[in-house]
Amino acid sequence: MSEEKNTPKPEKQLARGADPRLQRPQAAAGLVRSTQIVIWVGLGLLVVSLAWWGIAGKLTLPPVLIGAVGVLGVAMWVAYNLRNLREIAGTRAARLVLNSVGFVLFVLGIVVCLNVIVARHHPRLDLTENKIHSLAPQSMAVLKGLDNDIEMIAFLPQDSGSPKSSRDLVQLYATLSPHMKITWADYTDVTLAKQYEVTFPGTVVVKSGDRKEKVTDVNESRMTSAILSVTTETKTTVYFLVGHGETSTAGGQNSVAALKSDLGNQQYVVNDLDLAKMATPEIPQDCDVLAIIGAKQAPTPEEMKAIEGWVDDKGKLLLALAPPPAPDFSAILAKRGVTVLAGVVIDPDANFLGQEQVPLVTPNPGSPIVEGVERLVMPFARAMQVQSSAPPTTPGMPPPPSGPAVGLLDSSASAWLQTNPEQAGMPQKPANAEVGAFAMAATVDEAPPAPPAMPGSPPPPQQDQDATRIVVIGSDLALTDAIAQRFKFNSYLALNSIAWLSKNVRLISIPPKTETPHNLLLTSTQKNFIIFVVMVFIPLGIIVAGVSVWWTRRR
Amino acid sequence: MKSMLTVAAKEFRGYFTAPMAYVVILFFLGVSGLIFVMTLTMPQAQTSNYRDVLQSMVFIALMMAPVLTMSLLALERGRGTLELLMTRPVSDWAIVVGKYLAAAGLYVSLLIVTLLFPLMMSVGGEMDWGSVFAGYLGLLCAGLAFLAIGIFGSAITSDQIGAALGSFFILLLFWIIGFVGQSVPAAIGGVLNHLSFVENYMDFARGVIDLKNVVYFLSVAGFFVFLAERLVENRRSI
Repeated sequence: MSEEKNTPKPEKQLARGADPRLQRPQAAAGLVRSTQIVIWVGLGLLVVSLAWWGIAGKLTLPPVLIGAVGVLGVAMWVAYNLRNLREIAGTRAARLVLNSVGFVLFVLGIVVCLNVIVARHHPRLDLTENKIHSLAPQSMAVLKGLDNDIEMIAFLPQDSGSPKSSRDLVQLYATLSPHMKITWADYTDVTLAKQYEVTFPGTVVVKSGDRKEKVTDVNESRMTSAILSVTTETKTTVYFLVGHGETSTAGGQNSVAALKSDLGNQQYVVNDLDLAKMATPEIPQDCDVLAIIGAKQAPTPEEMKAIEGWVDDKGKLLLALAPPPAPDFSAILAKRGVTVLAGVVIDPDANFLGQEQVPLVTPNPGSPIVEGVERLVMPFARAMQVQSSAPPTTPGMPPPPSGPAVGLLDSSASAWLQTNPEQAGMPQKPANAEVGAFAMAATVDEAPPAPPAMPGSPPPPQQDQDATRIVVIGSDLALTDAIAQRFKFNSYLALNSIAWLSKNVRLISIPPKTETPHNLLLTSTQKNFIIFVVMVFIPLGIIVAGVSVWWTRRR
Repeated sequence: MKSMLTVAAKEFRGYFTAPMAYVVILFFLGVSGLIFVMTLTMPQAQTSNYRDVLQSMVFIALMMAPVLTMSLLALERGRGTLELLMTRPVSDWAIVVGKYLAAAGLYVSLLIVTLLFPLMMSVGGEMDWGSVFAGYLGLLCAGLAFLAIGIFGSAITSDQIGAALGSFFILLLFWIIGFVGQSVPAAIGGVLNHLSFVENYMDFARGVIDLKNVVYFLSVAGFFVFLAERLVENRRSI
């Protein structure tokens, strides 16, 4: 041990400068101290520069200059100590450490690259029962149809000011289409907020070229509508007929102001139409859809003639009927297979909270208008009969095409017709009441249906789609704000109807996906059994096993 | 490969002969079970929602992993048996990965036991099994990452408590990094969020399997096991 101590170590002595010939001059000692300061100052400046960059969120001249001075300081120190560094690096241990560090950095680089690549293109699998974390087919169709890049500037704070679901949704759009790009904007960046006229956090600006659309209430329906808005060239004009006691579009619980506002959000142009103010009643040229919601008085013969003529000439009509004695527009509907009956539907089996005048309806499947719509309330709904004028089937021939009218909402089979809906109190079923499943909404599409294909023959060519379309809804109340805001699916009924009428199938509203709540019903015995197994049996088993091991090892 | 499995089997058996492992198992199953029972017996528990239990279990796994792995390499170094092991015809990889696999095996066994919870819950109501599967896959991936950090901590020092504390510190750092990400500029916040265990696990807990999250956890697991192996090899060479 003492020998080892006394054995000279030339390398170390040289390094320490034992040989006076190799010692630095006294004057240089201060310089050495200075270089030690330089390395720390240099590293400090580098940290300051990076912190500045991080806090500011962008690289400006000051952090670049500070960083450059820091790098210069480190470089000076390295240059001055190059010989010592080479000596240290020359040892076996240092080589091993350097090799290892290099290898670690190499592997780290691969790991980072892998994660960056996967973060850009990552398939995802939504295993939830209702696919609540996936986009609806309508949104997927819109994304697939994109030709141009769309930028989403998301002013979504990451704190509680914005729900995580909003960020996830924006991220999902970007994940599912290479044309969708996200810019996570800093809401505190006043310049950027001013540039996009964003006034509160939680806003997403959807931008394509010069066109941009702000989404303040971030949900799938709004986001998809905004994408359509910045990519669709033409706008659809909807006129609401007024002057016959129709439901107001101006505001209030019994108005359809929310519907009007939603249509505006979906890039429709919405106007009121008062035919009485015209010298000659006429539907405007730019009218794509005419909505008559809850007319209490019949239009004048001139007005009716104008409406009927317009509908006959490939017009698109949304008709929501008020309870009797309001007009039933039979002149337009009867010849198309829809007969409005003289009464409202009373449904003792399927109703809202026992109110038989308020049927609760599950839509008939098949129409895009009710796709994803689960249940609708139809207060004081006019009953209808829908006749599909299908000719009889000839043996050996393909099945006949269906007629233009199709029932959309049907009551239960035990429903009956109340002919005096203004009667107060619970409806009393008269002995001679008409009973059965009544239609409460129907669609009419006069486009000639494609002839069904014969077995083995090629599919039939597409027919001209521009023809008269009508959606008739038996309850005007079902579309009012009071109902539609409480029962979300009711608001989709009107929006989807207008989208279908105007052939904006891509604008069909997307009902929110909800988790199916599975009720948990455990008896007290079952609960106690579970508690016993989880809190007593399992822990006790582990304790007994552990103590027995300890006891065995002790012996 | 064979030597790796031999090491893994020996270590796995070793867990069941040490009282400490029973304490850890009791902690994991006891606390998870308590949360599960609380979920069942709460007055507002009217739906068979297992998500809350899954979200709690991942943090319990985070606390458990350092204790489960602290002795794997640190104890061997402390006793001087690691050097003895290195004299055997077993590579460093086989030693480190074998020990890691043993810890992972014990962790998977614990997860299998906790499958009893959703099974028992399904007696009282229909379960969304897709979500449960995704949650368990997330627990598995996250657990593999936690254990890898644990074995890395165990390779740093010969002191078991120091190893556990060191790994817990790293794990906690990865856990809270996402919360820090919420209060820094978006660009940096995005990177921190991507590194956060919480952010990467939440998709699993919600019933979504995203390749990004799977790759993240497996990358962390692979990288820290690799670091542990480097430490062992460097110590042998130097």
